[in-house]
Amino acid sequence: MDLEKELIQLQKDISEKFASIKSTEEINSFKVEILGKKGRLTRILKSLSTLSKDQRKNIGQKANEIRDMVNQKIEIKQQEIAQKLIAQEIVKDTIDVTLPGKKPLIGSKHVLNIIIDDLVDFFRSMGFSINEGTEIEDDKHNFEMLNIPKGHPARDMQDTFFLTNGLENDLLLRSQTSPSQAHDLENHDFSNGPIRMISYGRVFRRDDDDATHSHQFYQMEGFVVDRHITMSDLFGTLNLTLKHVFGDDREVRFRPSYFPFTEPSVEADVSCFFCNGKGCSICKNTGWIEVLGAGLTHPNVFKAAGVDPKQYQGFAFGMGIDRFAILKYGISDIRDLYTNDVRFLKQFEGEN
Amino acid sequence: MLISLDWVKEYLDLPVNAKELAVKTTMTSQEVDEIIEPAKGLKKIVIGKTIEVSPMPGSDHLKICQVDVGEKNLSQIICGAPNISQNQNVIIALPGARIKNNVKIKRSKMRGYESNGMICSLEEIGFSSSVVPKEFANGIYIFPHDLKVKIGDPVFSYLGMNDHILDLDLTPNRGDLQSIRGASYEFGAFYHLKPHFQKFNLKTNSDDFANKFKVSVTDSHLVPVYQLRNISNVKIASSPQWLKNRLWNVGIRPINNIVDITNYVMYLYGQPLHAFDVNTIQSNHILVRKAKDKEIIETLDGVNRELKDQDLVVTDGKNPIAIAGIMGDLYHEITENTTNVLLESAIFNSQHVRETAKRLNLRSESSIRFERGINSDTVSEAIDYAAYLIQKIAGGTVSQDVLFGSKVELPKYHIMTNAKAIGQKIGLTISTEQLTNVLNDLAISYKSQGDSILVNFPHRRPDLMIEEDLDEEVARIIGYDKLPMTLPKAQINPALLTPLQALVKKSRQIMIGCGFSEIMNYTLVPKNEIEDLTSKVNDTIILPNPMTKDHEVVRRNLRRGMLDVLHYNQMRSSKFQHLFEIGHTYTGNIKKTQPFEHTKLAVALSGKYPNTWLGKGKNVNFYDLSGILTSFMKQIGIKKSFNIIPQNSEEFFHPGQSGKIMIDNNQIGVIGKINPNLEHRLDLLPTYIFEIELNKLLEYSHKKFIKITVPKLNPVERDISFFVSKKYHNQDLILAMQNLNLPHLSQIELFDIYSPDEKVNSYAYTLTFLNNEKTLTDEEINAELASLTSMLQEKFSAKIR
Ligand SMILES: [Zn+2]
Repeated sequence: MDLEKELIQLQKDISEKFASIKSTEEINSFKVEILGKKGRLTRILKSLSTLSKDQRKNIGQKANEIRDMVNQKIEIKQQEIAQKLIAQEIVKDTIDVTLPGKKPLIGSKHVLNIIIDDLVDFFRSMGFSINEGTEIEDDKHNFEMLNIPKGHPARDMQDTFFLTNGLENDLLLRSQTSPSQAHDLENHDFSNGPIRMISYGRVFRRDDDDATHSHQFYQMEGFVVDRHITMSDLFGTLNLTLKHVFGDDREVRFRPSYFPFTEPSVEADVSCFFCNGKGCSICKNTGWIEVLGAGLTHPNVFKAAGVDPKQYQGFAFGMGIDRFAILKYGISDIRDLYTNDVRFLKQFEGEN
Repeated sequence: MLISLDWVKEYLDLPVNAKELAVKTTMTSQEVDEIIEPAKGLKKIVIGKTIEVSPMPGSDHLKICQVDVGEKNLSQIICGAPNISQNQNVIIALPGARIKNNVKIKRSKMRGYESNGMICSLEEIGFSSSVVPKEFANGIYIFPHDLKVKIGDPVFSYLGMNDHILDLDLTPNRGDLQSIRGASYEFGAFYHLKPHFQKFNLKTNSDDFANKFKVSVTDSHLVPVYQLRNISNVKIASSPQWLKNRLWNVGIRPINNIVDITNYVMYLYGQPLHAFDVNTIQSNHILVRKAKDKEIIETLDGVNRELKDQDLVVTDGKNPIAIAGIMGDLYHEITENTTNVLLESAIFNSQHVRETAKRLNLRSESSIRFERGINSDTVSEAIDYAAYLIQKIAGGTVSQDVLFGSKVELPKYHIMTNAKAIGQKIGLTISTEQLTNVLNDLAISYKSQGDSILVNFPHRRPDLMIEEDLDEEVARIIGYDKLPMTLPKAQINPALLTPLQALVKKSRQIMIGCGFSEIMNYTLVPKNEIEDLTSKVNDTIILPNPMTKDHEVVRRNLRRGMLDVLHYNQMRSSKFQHLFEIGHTYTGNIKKTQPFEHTKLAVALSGKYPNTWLGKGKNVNFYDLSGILTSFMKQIGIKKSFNIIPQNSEEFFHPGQSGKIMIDNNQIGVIGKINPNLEHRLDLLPTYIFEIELNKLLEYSHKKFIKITVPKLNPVERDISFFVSKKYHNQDLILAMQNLNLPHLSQIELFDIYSPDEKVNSYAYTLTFLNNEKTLTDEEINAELASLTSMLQEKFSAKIR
């Protein structure tokens, strides 16, 4: 047979066959048929030696071209088939990605700790260290050293849970966080620098629990003692603090008050965030909401701890954490803070 | 504290209206809670005169009244008040009137009779029943006959109802503001004004009162001033209208002219007065002394009061006739038959009055003034003014004799200061002139000595004693809003957390990260909660005077309160709960030692994981929670591993599903399922709790930073499984394997456990071997495995599978 004709026929056959190939198996058998040991092209290549030099060169070149073409086509076909298979797999494995995922447990911080942690970060950034104090205190630190001697009317303002009766220095559940001032003054070594301290935690008063009263609540106390502390320093510190807590757009005002352990004493209001100062039921139509009490440390407090009030001045301020939480989050009943209803707790997810 | 501005205006020309004054007062002095305007919202309420009153036929109480209301014709008004009769000046709400609570009065018909309005009681036009005179308590108000009125005029000015009354939220240091005079000084200071008080000329008669009557005081340091005056031949009657108006506008009920005058003078001067009926005092002797223990007095409210030896009493030489400064007794008070009055003006020790009033629960207008300190300069003036008013209003003659039981001059406080020193403390530079202006405004006397100023604090202001008190006066009169805002300029030291603070903070973050919600329970809990845990403790802190049974003891753990929270939420359809609390608990025998503060973490897992489309949720179990515990300990960075030792003596937990959490030989907590008894009683879903003491964890949690190398070679894993008696726990086996200290055994992980019969368990572990230096050979691993298996066989009689 004429090899040249055979090649042409082969080329034709390859094109036809290739079009019908659909699977990897068909590729393989096609490959064997053409390029296998007994394949048609292999046979042609083997027969080349019987030809003249010119023919050999001519037909050989053509045969090689065909071989290259076949290899190339096979490769393309193989990729096509692989793609098809993957495409099928993808269709098969397609899922509804909108179905809910596996539910992890979600935790939340208690709202009082949300407020506390935020304030702790704020005050630590200004160099205030933390002295939490302890919930069980003695009369000396809770009252006596804070210029509230026995018989002082201020003892009535903070009707107290006593744990002992008639001892020289009775134990009690602290009625305020201020005893930490007394402890700090007793223990502080001023050669290490001034006092800049916050103290926070539970305090207790003999109040019947209702929507606005709780026998247990949280206070945070700030205390700064140094030489040359002024009332302006107190105002500046409180202004920053209250704007941090209640927002930069709040106005802050100060007015006189009375606490036995400060003189002068101050109460701070922020402009009402419900009515923006216009007057509403929350602010009792004043446009202002009372948020904390403060003042310059009374000289008797210094004297009680053996610190010279001529050398040192200080200021202190006390914040009601429960009240901050109530105001910030619009909580209508203080008991919600201690009832631990999970529907209440859940609302603070993500407020960490 | 109610301050009537009409009253203040008798002494001070207030240049502003009530609203402006209230804002100024809040910003400069005391918080104003409210401005009370008695006539606000009322209209068409006039004075009328009953011309004819006749009973309504067919009614046992209604009357048909023809009333002159200042119009051409009489008005017919139906009235049911028992005290109505002809020829009375009364309060008429005309048709169209608005009375209390914005109620509108309309023309109406009652049983066919027309009624053109309403004849009103004081309460119907807004008076509180606590100030309505007793004689008008169940009827309409009738104006005194001698009061000149114009029929048809609005009633408001006649009843003092056009007044504006400031309700001050008084701080306990400002006793001076419990008086109209004190308030006048205070308001005057805001506007650079001086109050001008009434001058009066007391006419007295010489008689033998001083000879007839004796007074003595045993403890003049507790009663520094005690004085008496006698007014005889008085006529007890109802007070004139102006006096009633003054009193009820400041919240005091008018009673009779003598009592009303003492109350009026008390409110004006801040000086409580007491009036006795002299004729009831048989002894002609007043002795002020400390009470005898268990002495009894029947106070004028009809209650027998038992006294203590710290109480001060006024006696007739023998028996108490008044608790000093608080309340008189029933038998010596002014009655309608009194003709001879003994007036008392005194200063009683504030602490004694306070403690007695508090103990007897007898806070009175009088006692709060003694408690907060009164003006020793006007003790005499007040009694003189009262005598003057009595003579004017109730007639009678005032004896010229003033009897003194004590008359101690009270100390005056003065300080030496200067403008610069004050300015430095408040943070604002002030001039000497500014300082003296403030002193002038406050009517405080001073002497300039160059730049220094000697300030004499008046007795009128007992709250002023030291320099700092003046700092406050200067700052508030200048205005707190005038002070600059600065920050303390000071050395700042690092503000580090203590290890415990850091541990608490980290614990909270970890538990939130593990998906638990933080709760906060009360520190004070019911007694029976403690009994639920164990009845055998004696270091629980119990309140001697609890307020309620719910808050009687200081909690000694967090887990019992946790159960109540779980129960509460379960009752509200929460079937799966994951909660934690971090808080303090206390123990200790407080009579002997300081209590110990524990910082604890309690974690609870309760109920059933929710069903999802991925599968049905199962009940929570022990291993869910112990897994959380493991995760917590790993994240906290405990340098030693912890163990759970089975068995627990606490009644709180399931005996077969609980254990102590141990590090070394130190118990740091407990873990377990709630005891079925408790679970049933509280109707709880399966609940598991662990509670650990963070302060005990502290010593294990300082993780030293060590050199950390990442292994270069891959580990080799081998599985081992064996049967072993059930008396051994997984932990025993693991500990024994670890204790072999095999050089390359780096990890032991349980992967299967089953029980072929009652006595035996089969355990299967994956053992991980690692050598960082070179690849381990089979021989090396086999050798270590062999020593491990032989240990298990010898020590636990394990049958290797
Ligand atoms: Zn508002």
